[in-house]
Amino acid sequence: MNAKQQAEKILAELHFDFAAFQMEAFLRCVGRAKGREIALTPWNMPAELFGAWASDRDEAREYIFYRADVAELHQTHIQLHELAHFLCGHPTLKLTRQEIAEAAAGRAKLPFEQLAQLRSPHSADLETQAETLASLIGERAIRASGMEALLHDPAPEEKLADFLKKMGVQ
Amino acid sequence: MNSFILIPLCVVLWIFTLARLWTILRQIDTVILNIWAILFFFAITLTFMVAEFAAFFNAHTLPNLSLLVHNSAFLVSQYFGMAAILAGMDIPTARRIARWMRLLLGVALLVLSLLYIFFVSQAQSTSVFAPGSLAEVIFRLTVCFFGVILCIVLAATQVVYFPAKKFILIRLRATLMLLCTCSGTTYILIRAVMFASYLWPFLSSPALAPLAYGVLVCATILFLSIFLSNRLYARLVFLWRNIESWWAFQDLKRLVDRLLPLCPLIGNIPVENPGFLAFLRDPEHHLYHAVVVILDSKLMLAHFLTEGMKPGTHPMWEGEDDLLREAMRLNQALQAANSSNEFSDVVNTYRRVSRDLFASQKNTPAGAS
Repeated sequence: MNAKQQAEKILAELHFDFAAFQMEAFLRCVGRAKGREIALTPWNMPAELFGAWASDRDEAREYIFYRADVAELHQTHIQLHELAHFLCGHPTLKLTRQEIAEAAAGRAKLPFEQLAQLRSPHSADLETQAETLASLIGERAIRASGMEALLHDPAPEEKLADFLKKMGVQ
Repeated sequence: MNSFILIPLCVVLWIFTLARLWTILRQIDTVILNIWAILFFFAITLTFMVAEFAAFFNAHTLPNLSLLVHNSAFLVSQYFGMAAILAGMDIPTARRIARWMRLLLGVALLVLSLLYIFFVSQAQSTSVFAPGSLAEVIFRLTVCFFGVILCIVLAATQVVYFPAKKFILIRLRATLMLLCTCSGTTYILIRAVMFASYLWPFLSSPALAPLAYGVLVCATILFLSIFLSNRLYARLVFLWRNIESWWAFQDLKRLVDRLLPLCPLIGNIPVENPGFLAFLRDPEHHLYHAVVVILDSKLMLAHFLTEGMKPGTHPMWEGEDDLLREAMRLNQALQAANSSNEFSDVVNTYRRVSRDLFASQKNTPAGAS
Protein backbone atom coordinates (compact mmCIF):
# COMPACT_ATOMS: atom_id res chain seq x y z
CA MET A 1 0.00 0.00 0.00
CA ASN A 2 1.49 3.37 -0.94
CA ALA A 3 1.33 6.52 1.21
CA LYS A 4 -1.74 7.89 -0.63
CA GLN A 5 -3.73 4.67 -0.29
CA GLN A 6 -2.75 4.39 3.36
CA ALA A 7 -3.83 8.00 3.98
CA GLU A 8 -7.19 7.41 2.26
CA LYS A 9 -7.78 4.27 4.32
CA ILE A 10 -7.04 6.08 7.59
CA LEU A 11 -9.39 8.93 6.66
CA ALA A 12 -12.14 6.56 5.56
CA GLU A 13 -12.00 4.83 8.95
CA LEU A 14 -12.52 8.16 10.72
CA HIS A 15 -15.89 8.83 8.97
CA PHE A 16 -15.36 12.56 9.40
CA ASP A 17 -17.64 15.04 7.64
CA PHE A 18 -15.30 17.61 6.12
CA ALA A 19 -18.04 20.16 5.38
CA ALA A 20 -17.16 23.35 7.30
CA PHE A 21 -13.94 21.79 8.63
CA GLN A 22 -12.89 22.96 12.08
CA MET A 23 -9.65 21.73 13.65
CA GLU A 24 -11.28 21.30 17.08
CA ALA A 25 -14.03 19.10 15.64
CA PHE A 26 -11.48 17.03 13.74
CA LEU A 27 -9.37 16.56 16.87
CA ARG A 28 -12.46 15.46 18.80
CA CYS A 29 -13.26 12.96 16.06
CA VAL A 30 -9.70 11.56 16.07
CA GLY A 31 -9.68 11.50 19.87
CA ARG A 32 -12.94 9.55 19.97
CA ALA A 33 -11.72 7.08 17.35
CA LYS A 34 -8.40 6.47 19.10
CA GLY A 35 -9.57 6.79 22.72
CA ARG A 36 -7.04 9.59 23.38
CA GLU A 37 -7.39 13.25 24.20
CA ILE A 38 -5.43 15.45 21.80
CA ALA A 39 -3.95 18.68 23.09
CA LEU A 40 -2.71 21.37 20.71
CA THR A 41 0.20 23.13 22.35
CA PRO A 42 1.86 26.20 20.80
CA TRP A 43 5.57 25.89 21.53
CA ASN A 44 8.77 27.76 21.00
CA MET A 45 10.16 25.10 18.67
CA PRO A 46 13.85 24.70 17.84
CA ALA A 47 14.65 26.47 14.56
CA GLU A 48 14.92 23.28 12.50
CA LEU A 49 11.52 21.94 13.68
CA PHE A 50 8.05 23.10 12.65
CA GLY A 51 6.16 20.86 15.06
CA ALA A 52 6.36 17.68 17.08
CA TRP A 53 4.07 15.07 18.52
CA ALA A 54 4.53 13.35 21.87
CA SER A 55 2.46 10.84 23.84
CA ASP A 56 1.66 11.21 27.50
CA ARG A 57 3.45 8.48 29.38
CA ASP A 58 0.78 8.25 32.12
CA GLU A 59 -2.52 9.44 30.69
CA ALA A 60 -4.55 8.86 27.53
CA ARG A 61 -3.35 12.09 25.96
CA GLU A 62 -1.37 13.15 22.89
CA TYR A 63 0.45 16.46 22.64
CA ILE A 64 0.81 18.28 19.35
CA PHE A 65 3.49 20.96 19.65
CA TYR A 66 3.59 23.54 16.89
CA ARG A 67 5.12 26.86 16.01
CA ALA A 68 2.69 29.72 16.53
CA ASP A 69 4.88 32.33 14.81
CA VAL A 70 3.72 31.39 11.30
CA ALA A 71 0.57 32.05 9.22
CA GLU A 72 -2.59 30.39 10.55
CA LEU A 73 -2.92 28.12 7.53
CA HIS A 74 0.66 26.98 8.02
CA GLN A 75 0.01 26.36 11.73
CA THR A 76 -2.97 24.22 10.79
CA HIS A 77 -0.88 22.23 8.32
CA ILE A 78 1.88 21.70 10.90
CA GLN A 79 -0.74 20.47 13.39
CA LEU A 80 -2.18 18.14 10.75
CA HIS A 81 1.28 16.81 9.90
CA GLU A 82 1.99 15.93 13.53
CA LEU A 83 -1.50 14.51 13.97
CA ALA A 84 -0.86 12.42 10.86
CA HIS A 85 2.22 10.87 12.53
CA PHE A 86 -0.10 9.85 15.38
CA LEU A 87 -2.79 8.50 13.04
CA CYS A 88 -0.18 6.53 11.09
CA GLY A 89 1.04 4.98 14.35
CA HIS A 90 4.63 6.19 14.01
CA PRO A 91 7.05 5.93 16.95
CA THR A 92 7.31 9.05 19.10
CA LEU A 93 8.44 10.58 22.37
CA LYS A 94 6.82 9.62 25.66
CA LEU A 95 6.55 12.53 28.06
CA THR A 96 4.92 13.18 31.40
CA ARG A 97 2.81 16.18 32.20
CA GLN A 98 5.48 17.15 34.73
CA GLU A 99 8.19 17.22 32.05
CA ILE A 100 6.06 19.44 29.87
CA ALA A 101 5.29 21.78 32.77
CA GLU A 102 9.01 22.01 33.58
CA ALA A 103 9.82 22.81 29.95
CA ALA A 104 7.02 25.36 29.74
CA ALA A 105 8.41 27.08 32.81
CA GLY A 106 11.83 27.22 31.13
CA ARG A 107 13.52 24.91 33.67
CA ALA A 108 14.09 22.11 31.16
CA LYS A 109 14.00 21.35 27.46
CA LEU A 110 11.84 18.82 25.69
CA PRO A 111 13.98 16.13 24.05
CA PHE A 112 12.85 16.82 20.47
CA GLU A 113 16.25 15.78 19.14
CA GLN A 114 15.36 12.18 20.08
CA LEU A 115 12.59 12.15 17.47
CA ALA A 116 15.06 11.71 14.62
CA GLN A 117 16.66 8.70 16.35
CA LEU A 118 13.28 7.16 17.16
CA ARG A 119 12.16 7.28 13.53
CA SER A 120 15.42 6.34 11.82
CA PRO A 121 16.22 4.57 9.55
CA HIS A 122 12.72 5.00 8.02
CA SER A 123 12.52 8.70 8.77
CA ALA A 124 12.03 9.74 5.13
CA ASP A 125 9.23 7.21 4.57
CA LEU A 126 7.48 8.19 7.79
CA GLU A 127 7.68 11.87 6.84
CA THR A 128 6.21 11.07 3.42
CA GLN A 129 3.34 9.15 5.01
CA ALA A 130 2.60 11.95 7.48
CA GLU A 131 2.84 14.69 4.87
CA THR A 132 0.61 12.75 2.47
CA LEU A 133 -2.07 12.25 5.11
CA ALA A 134 -1.84 15.87 6.31
CA SER A 135 -2.17 17.12 2.74
CA LEU A 136 -5.15 14.85 2.06
CA ILE A 137 -6.94 16.19 5.15
CA GLY A 138 -6.16 19.77 4.11
CA GLU A 139 -7.34 19.21 0.54
CA ARG A 140 -10.61 17.61 1.63
CA ALA A 141 -11.26 20.40 4.11
CA ILE A 142 -10.69 23.02 1.42
CA ARG A 143 -12.86 21.23 -1.12
CA ALA A 144 -15.75 20.63 1.28
CA SER A 145 -15.67 24.07 2.83
CA GLY A 146 -15.45 25.65 -0.63
CA MET A 147 -18.66 23.90 -1.69
CA GLU A 148 -20.28 24.63 1.67
CA ALA A 149 -19.44 28.33 1.37
CA LEU A 150 -21.05 28.36 -2.07
CA LEU A 151 -24.27 26.78 -0.84
CA HIS A 152 -24.83 28.83 2.30
CA ASP A 153 -25.37 32.55 2.24
CA PRO A 154 -23.36 34.00 5.17
CA ALA A 155 -25.87 36.85 5.53
CA PRO A 156 -29.18 35.44 4.31
CA GLU A 157 -32.21 37.66 3.82
CA GLU A 158 -35.38 36.04 5.03
CA LYS A 159 -37.60 37.31 2.21
CA LEU A 160 -35.15 36.42 -0.51
CA ALA A 161 -34.47 32.99 0.96
CA ASP A 162 -38.22 32.37 1.18
CA PHE A 163 -38.71 33.54 -2.41
CA LEU A 164 -35.97 31.21 -3.68
CA LYS A 165 -37.50 28.37 -1.69
CA LYS A 166 -40.84 29.04 -3.35
CA MET A 167 -39.09 29.09 -6.71
CA GLY A 168 -38.05 25.56 -5.82
CA VAL A 169 -34.34 26.21 -6.22
CA GLN A 170 -33.14 25.86 -2.61
CA MET B 1 -35.31 25.38 -38.17
CA ASN B 2 -38.45 26.46 -36.35
CA SER B 3 -39.75 23.04 -35.31
CA PHE B 4 -36.36 21.40 -34.85
CA ILE B 5 -35.42 23.92 -32.18
CA LEU B 6 -38.79 24.84 -30.73
CA ILE B 7 -40.20 21.34 -30.19
CA PRO B 8 -37.37 20.10 -27.91
CA LEU B 9 -37.53 23.38 -25.98
CA CYS B 10 -41.32 22.99 -25.62
CA VAL B 11 -40.94 19.43 -24.38
CA VAL B 12 -38.38 20.47 -21.75
CA LEU B 13 -40.51 23.43 -20.70
CA TRP B 14 -43.67 21.31 -20.34
CA ILE B 15 -41.81 18.67 -18.33
CA PHE B 16 -40.50 21.44 -16.10
CA THR B 17 -43.95 22.99 -15.75
CA LEU B 18 -45.78 19.76 -15.00
CA ALA B 19 -43.06 18.59 -12.61
CA ARG B 20 -43.66 21.74 -10.59
CA LEU B 21 -47.40 21.19 -10.45
CA TRP B 22 -47.10 19.08 -7.32
CA THR B 23 -45.63 22.04 -5.36
CA ILE B 24 -48.84 23.99 -6.03
CA LEU B 25 -51.00 21.06 -5.04
CA ARG B 26 -48.98 20.65 -1.85
CA GLN B 27 -49.03 24.29 -0.80
CA ILE B 28 -51.43 27.00 -1.94
CA ASP B 29 -49.42 30.21 -1.98
CA THR B 30 -49.63 33.35 -4.13
CA VAL B 31 -45.92 33.41 -4.95
CA ILE B 32 -45.78 29.71 -5.82
CA LEU B 33 -48.89 30.13 -8.02
CA ASN B 34 -47.35 33.15 -9.76
CA ILE B 35 -44.11 31.29 -10.39
CA TRP B 36 -45.94 28.31 -11.80
CA ALA B 37 -48.06 30.62 -13.97
CA ILE B 38 -44.89 32.07 -15.55
CA LEU B 39 -43.82 28.56 -16.56
CA PHE B 40 -47.28 27.56 -17.71
CA PHE B 41 -47.94 30.59 -19.89
CA PHE B 42 -44.45 30.59 -21.32
CA ALA B 43 -44.86 26.93 -22.24
CA ILE B 44 -48.13 27.84 -24.03
CA THR B 45 -46.39 30.73 -25.82
CA LEU B 46 -43.64 28.50 -27.12
CA THR B 47 -45.99 25.66 -28.04
CA PHE B 48 -48.16 27.92 -30.18
CA MET B 49 -45.05 29.21 -31.94
CA VAL B 50 -44.49 25.77 -33.46
CA ALA B 51 -45.86 26.33 -36.98
CA GLU B 52 -47.27 22.81 -37.39
CA PHE B 53 -49.08 22.89 -34.07
CA ALA B 54 -50.44 26.40 -34.72
CA ALA B 55 -51.78 25.32 -38.13
CA PHE B 56 -53.40 22.22 -36.61
CA PHE B 57 -54.95 24.30 -33.82
CA ASN B 58 -56.27 26.95 -36.21
CA ALA B 59 -57.73 24.30 -38.51
CA HIS B 60 -59.69 22.78 -35.61
CA THR B 61 -60.78 26.00 -33.86
CA LEU B 62 -61.00 29.52 -35.27
CA PRO B 63 -58.88 31.10 -37.99
CA ASN B 64 -55.60 32.47 -36.62
CA LEU B 65 -56.67 31.81 -33.03
CA SER B 66 -53.15 30.51 -32.26
CA LEU B 67 -51.88 34.04 -32.89
CA LEU B 68 -54.14 35.45 -30.18
CA VAL B 69 -53.31 32.61 -27.78
CA HIS B 70 -49.54 32.75 -28.13
CA ASN B 71 -49.29 36.52 -27.95
CA SER B 72 -51.66 36.78 -25.01
CA ALA B 73 -49.86 33.98 -23.18
CA PHE B 74 -46.55 35.77 -23.77
CA LEU B 75 -47.83 38.96 -22.13
CA VAL B 76 -49.47 37.04 -19.29
CA SER B 77 -46.24 35.14 -18.52
CA GLN B 78 -44.37 38.44 -18.35
CA TYR B 79 -46.99 39.83 -15.98
CA PHE B 80 -46.69 36.82 -13.69
CA GLY B 81 -42.88 37.12 -13.71
CA MET B 82 -43.16 40.60 -12.33
CA ALA B 83 -46.02 39.72 -9.97
CA ALA B 84 -44.01 36.80 -8.53
CA ILE B 85 -41.05 39.03 -7.69
CA LEU B 86 -43.27 41.74 -6.23
CA ALA B 87 -45.26 39.30 -4.10
CA GLY B 88 -42.22 37.24 -3.17
CA MET B 89 -40.17 40.18 -1.94
CA ASP B 90 -43.21 41.60 -0.11
CA ILE B 91 -42.51 45.22 -1.06
CA PRO B 92 -44.89 47.90 0.30
CA THR B 93 -45.49 49.44 -3.13
CA ALA B 94 -45.88 46.02 -4.75
CA ARG B 95 -49.67 46.05 -4.66
CA ARG B 96 -49.90 49.41 -6.36
CA ILE B 97 -47.43 48.42 -9.10
CA ALA B 98 -49.15 45.06 -9.55
CA ARG B 99 -52.55 46.79 -9.84
CA TRP B 100 -51.27 49.10 -12.56
CA MET B 101 -49.66 46.23 -14.41
CA ARG B 102 -52.85 44.17 -14.16
CA LEU B 103 -54.77 47.08 -15.61
CA LEU B 104 -52.21 47.43 -18.42
CA LEU B 105 -52.40 43.72 -19.14
CA GLY B 106 -56.20 43.87 -19.16
CA VAL B 107 -56.15 46.74 -21.67
CA ALA B 108 -53.61 44.89 -23.84
CA LEU B 109 -55.65 41.69 -23.83
CA LEU B 110 -58.85 43.62 -24.62
CA VAL B 111 -57.19 45.46 -27.52
CA LEU B 112 -55.74 42.20 -28.86
CA SER B 113 -59.11 40.43 -28.57
CA LEU B 114 -60.89 43.22 -30.42
CA LEU B 115 -58.24 43.30 -33.13
CA TYR B 116 -58.53 39.56 -33.42
CA ILE B 117 -62.34 39.48 -33.59
CA PHE B 118 -62.69 42.29 -36.11
CA PHE B 119 -59.61 41.88 -38.28
CA VAL B 120 -57.13 39.06 -37.65
CA SER B 121 -59.70 36.27 -37.61
CA GLN B 122 -60.87 37.46 -41.04
CA ALA B 123 -57.37 37.43 -42.49
CA GLN B 124 -55.70 34.61 -44.36
CA SER B 125 -53.48 32.23 -42.40
CA THR B 126 -50.39 33.89 -40.96
CA SER B 127 -46.90 32.86 -40.01
CA VAL B 128 -45.00 33.72 -36.83
CA PHE B 129 -42.84 36.47 -38.28
CA ALA B 130 -44.58 37.49 -41.52
CA PRO B 131 -47.80 39.46 -41.14
CA GLY B 132 -50.25 39.19 -44.02
CA SER B 133 -52.35 42.30 -43.49
CA LEU B 134 -52.30 45.74 -41.96
CA ALA B 135 -54.63 44.56 -39.18
CA GLU B 136 -52.19 41.85 -38.32
CA VAL B 137 -49.31 44.35 -38.27
CA ILE B 138 -51.27 46.52 -35.82
CA PHE B 139 -52.08 43.42 -33.76
CA ARG B 140 -48.41 42.37 -33.63
CA LEU B 141 -47.09 45.86 -32.90
CA THR B 142 -49.65 46.17 -30.08
CA VAL B 143 -48.18 43.01 -28.56
CA CYS B 144 -44.66 44.40 -28.98
CA PHE B 145 -45.64 47.71 -27.39
CA PHE B 146 -47.19 46.13 -24.29
CA GLY B 147 -44.48 43.46 -24.24
CA VAL B 148 -41.69 46.04 -24.09
CA ILE B 149 -43.47 47.97 -21.32
CA LEU B 150 -43.87 44.79 -19.28
CA CYS B 151 -40.23 43.83 -19.93
CA ILE B 152 -38.99 47.24 -18.80
CA VAL B 153 -41.07 47.07 -15.62
CA LEU B 154 -39.91 43.48 -15.05
CA ALA B 155 -36.24 44.45 -15.53
CA ALA B 156 -36.64 47.48 -13.26
CA THR B 157 -38.27 45.26 -10.62
CA GLN B 158 -35.31 42.90 -10.78
CA VAL B 159 -32.75 45.68 -10.61
CA VAL B 160 -34.48 47.30 -7.63
CA TYR B 161 -35.36 44.19 -5.65
CA PHE B 162 -32.31 42.06 -6.41
CA PRO B 163 -29.66 44.67 -5.66
CA ALA B 164 -25.97 43.72 -5.68
CA LYS B 165 -26.00 40.77 -3.31
CA LYS B 166 -22.65 39.53 -2.06
CA PHE B 167 -23.71 35.90 -2.12
CA ILE B 168 -22.52 34.60 -5.45
CA LEU B 169 -25.40 32.22 -6.21
CA ILE B 170 -28.01 34.95 -5.73
CA ARG B 171 -25.92 37.35 -7.79
CA LEU B 172 -25.65 34.76 -10.55
CA ARG B 173 -29.38 33.97 -10.52
CA ALA B 174 -30.29 37.67 -10.52
CA THR B 175 -27.92 38.24 -13.45
CA LEU B 176 -29.50 35.38 -15.40
CA MET B 177 -32.99 36.76 -14.67
CA LEU B 178 -31.95 40.15 -15.96
CA LEU B 179 -30.27 38.65 -19.02
CA CYS B 180 -33.41 36.62 -19.70
CA THR B 181 -35.57 39.75 -19.49
CA CYS B 182 -33.16 41.69 -21.69
CA SER B 183 -33.05 38.96 -24.31
CA GLY B 184 -36.87 38.81 -24.17
CA THR B 185 -36.99 42.55 -24.79
CA THR B 186 -34.50 42.21 -27.67
CA TYR B 187 -36.66 39.46 -29.18
CA ILE B 188 -39.74 41.69 -29.02
CA LEU B 189 -37.87 44.61 -30.58
CA ILE B 190 -36.55 42.46 -33.44
CA ARG B 191 -40.08 41.24 -34.05
CA ALA B 192 -41.33 44.83 -33.99
CA VAL B 193 -38.82 45.74 -36.71
CA MET B 194 -39.90 42.72 -38.76
CA PHE B 195 -43.58 43.62 -38.50
CA ALA B 196 -42.91 47.29 -39.15
CA SER B 197 -41.18 46.29 -42.39
CA TYR B 198 -44.68 45.55 -43.74
CA LEU B 199 -45.27 49.31 -43.61
CA TRP B 200 -41.67 50.39 -44.27
CA PRO B 201 -40.03 47.79 -46.52
CA PHE B 202 -36.54 49.29 -46.08
CA LEU B 203 -36.56 47.77 -42.56
CA SER B 204 -36.77 44.24 -43.89
CA SER B 205 -33.70 42.01 -43.85
CA PRO B 206 -33.33 38.24 -44.33
CA ALA B 207 -31.10 38.18 -41.22
CA LEU B 208 -33.91 39.27 -38.89
CA ALA B 209 -35.84 35.97 -38.70
CA PRO B 210 -32.84 33.76 -37.80
CA LEU B 211 -31.69 36.47 -35.39
CA ALA B 212 -35.10 36.50 -33.71
CA TYR B 213 -35.05 32.69 -33.40
CA GLY B 214 -31.55 32.79 -31.94
CA VAL B 215 -32.52 35.38 -29.35
CA LEU B 216 -35.71 33.45 -28.53
CA VAL B 217 -33.73 30.25 -27.97
CA CYS B 218 -31.26 32.12 -25.74
CA ALA B 219 -34.11 33.68 -23.77
CA THR B 220 -35.78 30.29 -23.31
CA ILE B 221 -32.55 28.62 -22.15
CA LEU B 222 -31.90 31.50 -19.74
CA PHE B 223 -35.50 31.25 -18.57
CA LEU B 224 -35.10 27.55 -17.82
CA SER B 225 -31.74 28.09 -16.12
CA ILE B 226 -33.36 30.49 -13.63
CA PHE B 227 -35.30 27.54 -12.22
CA LEU B 228 -32.33 25.22 -11.75
CA SER B 229 -31.40 24.29 -8.19
CA ASN B 230 -28.81 26.09 -6.07
CA ARG B 231 -26.82 22.87 -5.82
CA LEU B 232 -26.38 22.78 -9.60
CA TYR B 233 -25.44 26.46 -9.63
CA ALA B 234 -22.88 25.78 -6.89
CA ARG B 235 -21.37 22.94 -8.90
CA LEU B 236 -21.06 25.15 -11.97
CA VAL B 237 -19.48 27.98 -9.98
CA PHE B 238 -17.16 25.46 -8.33
CA LEU B 239 -16.13 24.11 -11.73
CA TRP B 240 -15.57 27.63 -13.00
CA ARG B 241 -13.41 28.47 -9.98
CA ASN B 242 -11.40 25.30 -10.55
CA ILE B 243 -10.80 26.34 -14.15
CA GLU B 244 -9.72 29.78 -12.94
CA SER B 245 -7.44 28.26 -10.31
CA TRP B 246 -5.40 26.61 -13.07
CA TRP B 247 -3.79 29.99 -13.76
CA ALA B 248 -3.25 30.56 -10.04
CA PHE B 249 -1.50 27.19 -9.89
CA GLN B 250 0.76 28.15 -12.79
CA ASP B 251 1.88 31.24 -10.86
CA LEU B 252 2.41 29.26 -7.65
CA LYS B 253 4.30 26.57 -9.54
CA ARG B 254 6.69 29.17 -10.93
CA LEU B 255 7.43 30.33 -7.38
CA VAL B 256 7.81 26.74 -6.16
CA ASP B 257 10.27 26.02 -8.98
CA ARG B 258 12.42 28.89 -7.77
CA LEU B 259 12.23 27.75 -4.14
CA LEU B 260 13.03 24.08 -4.69
CA PRO B 261 16.76 24.52 -5.43
CA LEU B 262 17.05 26.45 -2.16
CA CYS B 263 14.94 24.47 0.32
CA PRO B 264 14.42 20.75 0.91
CA LEU B 265 10.91 19.33 0.46
CA ILE B 266 9.20 18.16 3.63
CA GLY B 267 7.98 14.60 3.20
CA ASN B 268 9.80 14.52 -0.12
CA ILE B 269 6.53 14.80 -2.05
CA PRO B 270 7.26 16.54 -5.34
CA VAL B 271 5.03 19.30 -6.67
CA GLU B 272 3.66 17.79 -9.86
CA ASN B 273 3.29 19.58 -13.14
CA PRO B 274 -0.14 18.34 -14.24
CA GLY B 275 -1.78 19.08 -17.56
CA PHE B 276 -4.98 21.14 -17.55
CA LEU B 277 -7.36 18.14 -17.37
CA ALA B 278 -5.27 16.32 -14.77
CA PHE B 279 -5.29 19.50 -12.69
CA LEU B 280 -9.10 19.80 -12.97
CA ARG B 281 -9.51 16.28 -11.58
CA ASP B 282 -8.02 17.38 -8.24
CA PRO B 283 -7.27 21.12 -8.16
CA GLU B 284 -7.28 21.34 -4.35
CA HIS B 285 -4.49 18.77 -4.14
CA HIS B 286 -2.19 20.69 -6.48
CA LEU B 287 -2.97 24.11 -5.02
CA TYR B 288 -2.75 23.01 -1.40
CA HIS B 289 0.53 21.20 -1.90
CA ALA B 290 2.06 24.16 -3.73
CA VAL B 291 0.92 26.54 -0.95
CA VAL B 292 2.34 24.27 1.76
CA VAL B 293 5.69 24.02 -0.04
CA ILE B 294 5.78 27.83 -0.29
CA LEU B 295 4.91 28.31 3.40
CA ASP B 296 7.47 25.69 4.47
CA SER B 297 10.12 27.29 2.26
CA LYS B 298 9.28 30.73 3.62
CA LEU B 299 10.03 29.50 7.14
CA MET B 300 13.14 27.56 6.10
CA LEU B 301 14.60 30.43 4.07
CA ALA B 302 14.15 32.82 6.98
CA HIS B 303 15.85 30.30 9.24
CA PHE B 304 18.72 29.62 6.82
CA LEU B 305 19.38 33.32 6.30
CA THR B 306 19.03 34.58 9.86
CA GLU B 307 20.49 31.86 12.07
CA GLY B 308 23.56 33.87 13.01
CA MET B 309 24.79 33.88 9.44
CA LYS B 310 25.96 36.86 7.51
CA PRO B 311 25.11 37.12 3.85
CA GLY B 312 27.81 35.59 1.78
CA THR B 313 29.03 33.27 4.50
CA HIS B 314 26.13 30.82 4.65
CA PRO B 315 27.28 27.20 4.48
CA MET B 316 24.12 26.17 2.59
CA TRP B 317 25.23 28.16 -0.42
CA GLU B 318 28.95 28.60 0.18
CA GLY B 319 30.61 29.69 -3.02
CA GLU B 320 27.21 29.89 -4.70
CA ASP B 321 26.68 33.64 -4.82
CA ASP B 322 23.82 33.42 -7.29
CA LEU B 323 21.89 31.00 -5.08
CA LEU B 324 22.47 33.14 -2.02
CA ARG B 325 21.27 36.24 -3.84
CA GLU B 326 18.21 34.35 -5.09
CA ALA B 327 17.53 33.12 -1.54
CA MET B 328 17.71 36.64 -0.18
CA ARG B 329 15.48 37.99 -2.95
CA LEU B 330 12.84 35.30 -2.41
CA ASN B 331 13.05 35.59 1.37
CA GLN B 332 12.42 39.32 1.17
CA ALA B 333 9.42 38.88 -1.10
CA LEU B 334 7.94 36.04 0.98
CA GLN B 335 8.39 37.76 4.34
CA ALA B 336 6.61 40.84 2.99
CA ALA B 337 3.58 38.75 2.00
CA ASN B 338 0.72 38.61 4.47
CA SER B 339 -2.67 37.05 4.01
CA SER B 340 -5.72 36.06 6.01
CA ASN B 341 -6.37 32.45 6.97
CA GLU B 342 -8.74 32.10 4.00
CA PHE B 343 -7.23 29.59 1.58
CA SER B 344 -8.21 31.57 -1.51
CA ASP B 345 -6.60 34.68 0.00
CA VAL B 346 -3.38 32.75 0.71
CA VAL B 347 -3.35 31.50 -2.89
CA ASN B 348 -3.91 35.00 -4.24
CA THR B 349 -1.24 36.51 -1.99
CA TYR B 350 1.52 34.12 -3.10
CA ARG B 351 0.30 34.30 -6.64
CA ARG B 352 0.97 38.03 -6.50
CA VAL B 353 4.40 37.40 -4.96
CA SER B 354 5.21 35.04 -7.81
CA ARG B 355 4.06 37.51 -10.45
CA ASP B 356 5.94 40.40 -8.86
CA LEU B 357 9.12 38.32 -8.68
CA PHE B 358 8.70 37.26 -12.28
CA ALA B 359 8.06 40.86 -13.36
CA SER B 360 11.09 42.18 -11.47
CA GLN B 361 13.22 39.39 -12.96
CA LYS B 362 12.10 40.39 -16.44
CA ASN B 363 12.85 44.05 -15.72
CA THR B 364 16.34 43.33 -14.34
CA PRO B 365 18.99 43.63 -17.06
CA ALA B 366 21.02 40.47 -17.67
CA GLY B 367 24.09 40.33 -15.43
CA ALA B 368 22.66 42.79 -12.90
CA SER B 369 22.10 41.63 -9.34
